Amino acid sequence: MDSGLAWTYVHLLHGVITYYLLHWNKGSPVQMDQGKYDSLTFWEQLDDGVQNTNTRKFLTLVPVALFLLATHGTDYRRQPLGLNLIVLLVLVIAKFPAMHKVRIFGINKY
Amino acid sequence: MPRPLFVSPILIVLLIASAAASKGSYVQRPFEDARVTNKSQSEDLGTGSHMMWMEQLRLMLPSSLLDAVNSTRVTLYTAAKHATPEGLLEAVRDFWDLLKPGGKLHPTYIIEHQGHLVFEVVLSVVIAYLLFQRSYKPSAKQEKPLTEKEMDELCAEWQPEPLCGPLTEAQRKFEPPVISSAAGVYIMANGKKALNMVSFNFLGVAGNASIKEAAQATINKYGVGSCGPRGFYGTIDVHLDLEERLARFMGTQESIIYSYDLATIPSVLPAFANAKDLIVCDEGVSYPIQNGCHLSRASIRRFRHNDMADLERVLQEVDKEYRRLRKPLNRRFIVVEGIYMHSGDLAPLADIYRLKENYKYRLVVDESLALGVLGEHGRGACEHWGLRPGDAEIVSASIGNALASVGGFCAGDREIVDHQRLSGLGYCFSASLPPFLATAAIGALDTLETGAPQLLPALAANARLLRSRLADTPGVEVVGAARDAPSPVVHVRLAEQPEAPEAAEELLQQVVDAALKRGGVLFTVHRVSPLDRVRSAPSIRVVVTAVHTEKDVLKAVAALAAAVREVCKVSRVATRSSYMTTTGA
Repeated sequence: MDSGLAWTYVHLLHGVITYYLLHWNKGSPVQMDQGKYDSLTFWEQLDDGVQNTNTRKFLTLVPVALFLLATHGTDYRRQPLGLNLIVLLVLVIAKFPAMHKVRIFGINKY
Repeated sequence: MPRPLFVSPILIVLLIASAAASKGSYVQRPFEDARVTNKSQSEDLGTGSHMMWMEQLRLMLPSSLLDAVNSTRVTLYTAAKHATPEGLLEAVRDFWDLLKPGGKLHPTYIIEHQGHLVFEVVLSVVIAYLLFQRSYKPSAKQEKPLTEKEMDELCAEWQPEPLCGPLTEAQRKFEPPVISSAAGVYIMANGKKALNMVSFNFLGVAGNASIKEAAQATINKYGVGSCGPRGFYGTIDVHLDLEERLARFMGTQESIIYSYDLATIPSVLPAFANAKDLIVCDEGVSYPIQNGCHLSRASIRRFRHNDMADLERVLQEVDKEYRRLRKPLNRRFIVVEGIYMHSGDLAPLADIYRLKENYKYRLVVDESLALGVLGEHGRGACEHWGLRPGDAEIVSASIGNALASVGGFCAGDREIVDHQRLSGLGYCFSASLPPFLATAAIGALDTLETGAPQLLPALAANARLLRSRLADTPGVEVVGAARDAPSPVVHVRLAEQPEAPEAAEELLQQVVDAALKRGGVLFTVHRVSPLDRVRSAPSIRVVVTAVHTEKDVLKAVAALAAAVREVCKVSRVATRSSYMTTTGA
């Protein structure tokens, strides 16, 4: 397995896991908060909703860096470039400040 | 910012399409072929010094971009040479050859020929752009601070709103009777002996000598106060005894006592329901329940007082709405009172239980007026309607009425009660019940348990007698239906009562005053707090206990009838005119 394909696996796995944890999972495990965060994903609760904080920047950079590692220095025939790109776009678009509390097409609305 | 939202889905679709096309082309086109065709095309085109310049540029830029530029030039050149329809068609075909998978303008081709360097540079720029963004909070809109002048203007404009509406003449003149004895069947009201038809001392426990003695012994042992909340040095053995006794009496696993009955339900409801939950409650519930619903922050639906069809309608509506919106599962409660404080009637708990089982709700019953009154053992309305202990998940009651002490309690399964020991605000953050009051409540429970076979039938008989006699009294209307016969709390209204609440209250107060002055019987007008959302017509509240005799009941009814006759005859003209003026204004 060449390094590009290896990084592709890392990128895809990272994409699936962080999408579930950051953008799908809602609410908080704390019982005493009166359901205040029930409609917010973990990403939206991060830093109390403040945008472009260092934490958010870091978490946005990780998938971009992984995508670059997966695509750079490979022959583009053995690794699925399109799939990598879709995963990258989904992760990055979901992290846009403009997407704060927005559910496009009602995805993950309830 | 709506624009990026519309653009991003389109972007995704485009990229998916191009990625899919490029993926397919990996198999179609071998890498080297592209190189060969590319070279031959550029050799056809280039001549002399122009060629040299292109070669120099080629060293500096990724070759794929130059290929793309060259190919476009070829197409345009062809189109210009043959400016005929066939030539144009050929040009379009050439252009498509460039664009289709395998063509030189196709993303795959560009990326394979080191175009990915461009791509990586773009992504690096994105990273840099992101890193230099400033952080901000999306919802916080910065408003301009008020100027000094604006602040002064606002202060000058401000008119303090009165905490409650102005008092009417009658309300200002009202002097409550002064009671100078314990609340027995007969009391000293304004220095005169009067028959007591107002207190909720249903079993005649108040003033019981042995209970007083036991309470005194507790004061001698522990002092008056308990000096702390239950979880913070405030638990005394008598509290635990009382909780155990109440649990045993109610037939539940555990019970929990609160220091104040009005704080019981407002602590219990928020402990179980929160912002995402739902409370369906009767329109006519008492103020503590309204308060509890409000404090819980749950969404509240109300059904018409004791109207089961309306309750079912509300439950169906909720069901439909939750299905339609695919809302997540939450906790849902139906909240009712055993005997309603505001109307003295019974909640039809058998029907409510059936509905709550059908629609999967939890049932909360406030037994404050029903405890020690209804049911074979005096457990309350649940027992009266044939519900087993635990059928209503949460049962709370005051120990200030039939048990003639102070405080409240909640009985239920171990989980229900244990949860409140950390989440019941009135339990956690309020000093515990003074120990002697717990002793008094234990004494009252003793009386109830041993005396139930005599006391409860006597109370029920008195309640039936009072209700039927009041119903027969001319000029008086009794609130409630036939099923409310066992309720010892009877609300009566005048047959010809003004609709304006102030005028009606004034007239009823005259009736009460006349009954006390000439009949020697103490009644009371049912008072409703301005904060209370229940706005039923004013009424006189008549309460009978187990220790009233048949003669007492008849005397009370006769006194009320006489007072009604007296007041209505005198004030008929006056009330009519005052009613006209109040509604006219």
